[in-house]
Amino acid sequence: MSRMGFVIDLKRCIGCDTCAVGCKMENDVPPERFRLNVLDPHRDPQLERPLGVYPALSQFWLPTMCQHCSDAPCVAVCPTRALWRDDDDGMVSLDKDRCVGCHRCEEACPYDALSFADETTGTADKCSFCDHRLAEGQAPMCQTVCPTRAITSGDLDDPASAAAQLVATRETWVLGESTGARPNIFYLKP
Amino acid sequence: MSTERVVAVGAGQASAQFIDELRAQGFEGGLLLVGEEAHLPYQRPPLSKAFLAGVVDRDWLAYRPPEFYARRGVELRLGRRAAAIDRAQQTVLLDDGERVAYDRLLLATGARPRCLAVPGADLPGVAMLRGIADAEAIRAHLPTAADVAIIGGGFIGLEVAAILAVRGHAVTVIEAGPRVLGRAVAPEVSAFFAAAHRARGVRIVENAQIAEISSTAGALAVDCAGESVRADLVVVGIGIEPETGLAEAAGLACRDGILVDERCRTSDPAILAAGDCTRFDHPLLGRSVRLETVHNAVEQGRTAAHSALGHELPYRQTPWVWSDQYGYRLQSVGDGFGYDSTVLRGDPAEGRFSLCYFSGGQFLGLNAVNRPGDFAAARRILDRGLSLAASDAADLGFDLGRIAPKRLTHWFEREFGPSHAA
Amino acid sequence: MTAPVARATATPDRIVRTVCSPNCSGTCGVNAFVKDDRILKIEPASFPEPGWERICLKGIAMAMQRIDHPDRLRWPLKRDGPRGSGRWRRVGWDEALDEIAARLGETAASHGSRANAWMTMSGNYGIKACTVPERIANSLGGTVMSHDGMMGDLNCAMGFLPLLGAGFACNDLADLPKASLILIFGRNPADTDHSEMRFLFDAIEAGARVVVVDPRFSRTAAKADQWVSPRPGTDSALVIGMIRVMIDEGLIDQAYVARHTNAPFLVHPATGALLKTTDVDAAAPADYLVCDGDGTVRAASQCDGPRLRGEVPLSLNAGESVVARTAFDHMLDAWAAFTPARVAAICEIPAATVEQLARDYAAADRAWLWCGAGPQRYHHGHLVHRAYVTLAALAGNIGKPYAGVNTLDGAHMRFTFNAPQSWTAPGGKRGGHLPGIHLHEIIASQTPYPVRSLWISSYGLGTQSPGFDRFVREALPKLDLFVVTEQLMTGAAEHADFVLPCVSYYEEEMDLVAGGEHWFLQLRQRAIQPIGEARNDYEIFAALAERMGEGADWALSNEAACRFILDQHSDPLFRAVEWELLRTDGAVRIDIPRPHVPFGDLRFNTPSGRIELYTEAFVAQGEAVLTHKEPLEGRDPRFPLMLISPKHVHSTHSQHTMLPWIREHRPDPLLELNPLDAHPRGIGDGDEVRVWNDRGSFTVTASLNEAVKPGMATVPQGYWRKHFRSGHFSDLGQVVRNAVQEAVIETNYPVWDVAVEVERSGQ
Repeated sequence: MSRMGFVIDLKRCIGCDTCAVGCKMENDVPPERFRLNVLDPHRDPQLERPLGVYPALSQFWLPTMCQHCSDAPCVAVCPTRALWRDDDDGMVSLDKDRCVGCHRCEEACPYDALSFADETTGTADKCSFCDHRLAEGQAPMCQTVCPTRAITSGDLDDPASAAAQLVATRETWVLGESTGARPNIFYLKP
Repeated sequence: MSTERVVAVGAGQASAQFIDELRAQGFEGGLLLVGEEAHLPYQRPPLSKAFLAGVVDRDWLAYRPPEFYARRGVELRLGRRAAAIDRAQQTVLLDDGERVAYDRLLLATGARPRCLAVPGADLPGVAMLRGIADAEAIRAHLPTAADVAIIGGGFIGLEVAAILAVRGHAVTVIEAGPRVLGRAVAPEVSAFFAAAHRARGVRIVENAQIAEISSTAGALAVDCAGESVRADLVVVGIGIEPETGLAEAAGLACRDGILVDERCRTSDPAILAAGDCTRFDHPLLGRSVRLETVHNAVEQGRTAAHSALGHELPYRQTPWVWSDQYGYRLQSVGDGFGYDSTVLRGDPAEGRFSLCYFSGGQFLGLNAVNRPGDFAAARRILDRGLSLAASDAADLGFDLGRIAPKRLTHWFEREFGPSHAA
Repeated sequence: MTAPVARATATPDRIVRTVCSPNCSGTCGVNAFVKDDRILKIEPASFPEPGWERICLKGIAMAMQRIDHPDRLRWPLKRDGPRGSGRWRRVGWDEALDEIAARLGETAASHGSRANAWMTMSGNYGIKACTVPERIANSLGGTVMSHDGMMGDLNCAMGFLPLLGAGFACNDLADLPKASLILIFGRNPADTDHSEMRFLFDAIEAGARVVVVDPRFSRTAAKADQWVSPRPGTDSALVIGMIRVMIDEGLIDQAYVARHTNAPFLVHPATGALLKTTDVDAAAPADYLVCDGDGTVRAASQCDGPRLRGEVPLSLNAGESVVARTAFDHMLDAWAAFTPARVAAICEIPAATVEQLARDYAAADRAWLWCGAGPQRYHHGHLVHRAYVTLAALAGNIGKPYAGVNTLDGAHMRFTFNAPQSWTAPGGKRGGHLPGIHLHEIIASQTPYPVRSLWISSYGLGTQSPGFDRFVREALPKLDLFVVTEQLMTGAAEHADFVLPCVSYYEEEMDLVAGGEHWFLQLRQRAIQPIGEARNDYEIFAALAERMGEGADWALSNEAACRFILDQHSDPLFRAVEWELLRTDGAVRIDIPRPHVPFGDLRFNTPSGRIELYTEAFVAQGEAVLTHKEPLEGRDPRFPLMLISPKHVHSTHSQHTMLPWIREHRPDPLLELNPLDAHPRGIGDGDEVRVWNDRGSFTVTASLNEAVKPGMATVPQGYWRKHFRSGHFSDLGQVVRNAVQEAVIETNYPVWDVAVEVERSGQ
């Protein structure tokens, strides 16, 4: 049993959006929809502003996507098992053939991970961990294209994995700890 | 009393959700699931869609994978019927004589198909469609069923018609009422689907009561409305009735369904009920309802789990349902009961539109056909108790999502402060 | 209801290694996954060494969305109405080239062959694409309009050249982790070198300290240990202030300065010229004069430890007597006024910061100056890079590993700007050469000689040059012929007589791309067939040459041309590249030593062979010694805000701003103002504003941002005229000749020497 997750180094993330665009390319994400959003502290993806008042300023960027939560609220509420967390690899997968577009997942998700683009079927869309790439021994696309090498992925329960080692040795942060969803994206503090 | 052992009777989606939520909430006691069918809880909607079409198999239908139950320590009694409940002893007697004890009991016995009470309804070749066995039987018959008569023009009947029509069967839908989907939608939406079926060669006969079904020379004849419809296969889909026998025999309050409150409690403090078998006063609709939907089953299952543990997760869900026929996805949210006007959004001739239901200016609900954005927005509007003006509803340029924008994730504001975007 | 077959993950017919190369300088190796002659997706390609695999959002968007953009030009167009009317007639290549050739011939017959001009810029780093405009101009005796000044970063080179004898230098960026202090002046690598940012982060993790000097809190500033925010256009003052502190506190490397710069040279007190041995004794071997420790005047090459300061009487030829001081004395005179307090006032930063920066820089054992093009985009911008070189020289950091002054270097600089003359001037033919920075004036005034046709390629003239609207009004009417080779109908192409479709990187049959910021030479090879009837620049000009009787020089195939350039290159590093290795690996490292230490031999291609901190050539302009000169603009009280148009990660110049995936993340330009400037003007976040000066105006949406230093406004570059409600920010700029710059190469386009006012517009 593994627990696949991401470690994202916020010191290295420059907010360039390459991960978001690479994801769109690899996963045919429709226009105006995103599986991965790079947020800044003011949560305006397109209007980037630092925190503070000139000249005491700081800024960091936050790539967010499906957190592949260990207690995924989306899985708990999906009425057709379109969303499911595989105990063996820990990834939350979305089977579009099962999705009926009810949006319960979107309501339940604390992380805005779900988007809806199909204008006919209304099916959900979200980060798939690029499981099709993992099956070929490749890293997820966001990790592959990040120019600053800010993204690492792997089995968080395998002490030998790069991801697990980063979590063990660096100060990390998870988002929305109080939601109880137990997200599996660990952010290295900026 | 402490909860150490929970029994769920009825192995459908309500029970599976109940079990999932119990374990997720930390319940570590005994769990036992009794189900009449030989299958682990599965999803019924695909039975009249992809499963009937042969696109997916039995395993695909499972609501939770087989290992789910073992990993969560759930004992199974599949293919067994619960015969009686002893409320005083807090035991359930199974049909093979086994007695299982409970601290909490969930009744999720579901519903059975309504029987067609006419002569010949039990002839070979006349099928119901409720479970896997029914669907498989129908599927087995299809290769030799050129002519198919479908009795009942509700969602199930029309979905079956859609599957069969594209496979080249000659389909006749026989509807007792004046229009198909008569209990579910307004006439405009009925007309749209009726036209969609007719365009694909489905014959729809309305205002047709069945007199009898007879068998002649290897085929069936369905007598209705002064004609005899020839059929190799007859599928009966005239609704479902709640399975309340067990509850009634045990003295629980029932009235066309096991009566529950918004925490899924029956008249017995140790017994909960969820799903197709229940009736309750809907907190948002303001009337007593029995909801025959997957949505209701899973949400009540979840609420019942919390109740079993002494927590509260009140059921406050705007009802919704969906149906897939041909390339049209109908998504319906809210409750049009008692509507006095409707507003059309978009043009049915283009194959995508929504119909909004109003009562005295109050927005009640919406049927969306291939307009999933309208459906999603309407759900948020209704869930939050917001208003929608009829003029805005009619204006395709007006984005319904503006009324109830998606909420910024609360944790973000807590971590980072208010957003610029807000 | 199954999902459609995914495009990106469909099985490709082939995977082609090629190169993406706009002027981001990344020159990323790309694996293009192709199916049915369409690109499914791209991925970073590997290099012979690890660490260089990368692509970016722009490259992805370009590959996926620009090649088959609905507005992509697919066939030649001839205008079918007045210029700029938007009326076009599709024509075949033969018709287009026949007519163009005929008209070029007529122009040559009437006004001389030099009346036909070609100009290119930086849209494509492929060697053929970069060099064939010059080649065709030379072939036909036409004029090359240089791109140097118009590119807008020439002051980096012009600041370097007189001092160092070379126009550019940069350590290997992979060595950034070896630096102890990385002082980033006016550069925003997080936006403009993001492919190399990983090395900066590696450096930070290795313990390097990073300081960013930039008026604006940039993405890079957000990652730095310290951010210093000087007034725009005052960086030279800041650096002189640092120099003064270092000198005052005895922190300069005296021995190095005495040995490797011309600071100890004696200067004629009246003329400012450097005194020579021949000024004293006409028969002596020519050399400069210094004083040794005991005050004896000697030839520079005869003195190991000349003194840096001090006056000495000299008798010159023809009975002239002078009291000469060292160049360093003159520098001290000039720099005396730049006290921390005065610099603080000029730059609007704390005096203590000037002192601290100076001390930190002097104390760092591996102090890497990483200098960008921002601060040099002012009328006197050459002084900025001169300042950086001066600072580094005084600290003894030039020629030192993991230190020095770093702007840009890589295979591209050595390869492209040194293309063999046998290629650029076929058959030894040469045409004319004019400074492209004065494109407008040259054509409008038809001086120094008539220029009656202009053909541009790889150039977003409509947005990336000053005052294109004025060009249209004043210069364009003087042209009998205006041809634009393009992929999209840009602002310039709209006004052309002919628009010719060129291929994208992925359709190019073969080209060589040398690393913009690394040392690899890469092979660009065709991934997909040309869209429509698109051709590459070489093929277009070859077809033209054929019609004009010069076809014999243009008969090589694309591959043969690449091999020719490589085999004939003047730099042996490129001649050494094995073609077969390049074909199989797609990338070959040029044999630059490791570590790469620019000027490591401490030999400088200057008249003295030393770093010429004192430049006698500029005595007349008062710039024999480094000084600070204010921007041309910014003193008119009517226009109190300096406008800059920073580069950013979402577009390289104007190539990407129209692409859907880019627009999803950054749809429209915003004018950013500090709230302290916005509030008094009644400007709120999201208001539409008008920005203007005497030369033009534009309207745009405003955004209030604390990142912007009060007293300035920013608008992101690369957006087209149509992205603004009216006007374009480039309308507000101008070019004023700079005598020093003209003496070095040509005036640089001072893109940010622009002062404006901003008001809420009526909407």
